[in-house]
Amino acid sequence: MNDHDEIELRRYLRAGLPAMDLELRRDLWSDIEGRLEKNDKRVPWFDWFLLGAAAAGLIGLPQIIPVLLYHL
Amino acid sequence: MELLERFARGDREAFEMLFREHQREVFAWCMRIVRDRAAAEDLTAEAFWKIYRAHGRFDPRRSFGAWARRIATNLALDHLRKTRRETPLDQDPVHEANQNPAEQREKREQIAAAFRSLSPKLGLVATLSLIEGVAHREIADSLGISEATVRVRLFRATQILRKELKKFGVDR
Repeated sequence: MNDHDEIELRRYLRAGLPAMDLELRRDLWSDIEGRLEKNDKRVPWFDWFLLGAAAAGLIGLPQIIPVLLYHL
Repeated sequence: MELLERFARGDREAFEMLFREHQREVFAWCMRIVRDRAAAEDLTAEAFWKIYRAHGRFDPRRSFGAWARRIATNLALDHLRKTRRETPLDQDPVHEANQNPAEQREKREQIAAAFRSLSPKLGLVATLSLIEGVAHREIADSLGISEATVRVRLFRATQILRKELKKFGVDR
């Protein structure tokens, strides 16, 4: 295939597919803002891990509860 | 501190400023690839969300626009992979060429059918180069490939398109 063929094909495709309207008609910031808010509310996995570890510690070693309460 | 540096450190205000500066450009780029307004809006929002989450990997010495475009291109390519068989090629034309509407529609359907025979990778390069007239260098940058690879993909795509269009009696 030579350049002439490519130009012919290009011309045919452009004639068959009219130009698109590339203008953005609405501000998309609200979409991003929603995601940011949702992300802020999400509890990080490490916090869940710490909570689980603390719960397991209290269940496994209940004798530390009075010590903890004394120090609080 | 520079805007890009602030963004790289996770400053939300800097991100909003960059978003407002680049959203139109990223949208227009997605639109040129997927040719579907709703999908292009979704892809633009998704691209900026990815950009926000990846702020730590952004190098402030480099172009934010080029980085955003590359992320958007990858998302658009994924979109083309998912919707390859369903999406019509053209949904939001600005104007019709001076031609019989039925003839024009038939021509558009033939082109859409020919494009559907291309893989998403070839289709993307063919759309950007043959229809949108984007330079090879720009396509290469947005895909993270070399110009030579763009030329190879374009060559393959034009061969397939010509073969498919021939089936409809179109000899180009």
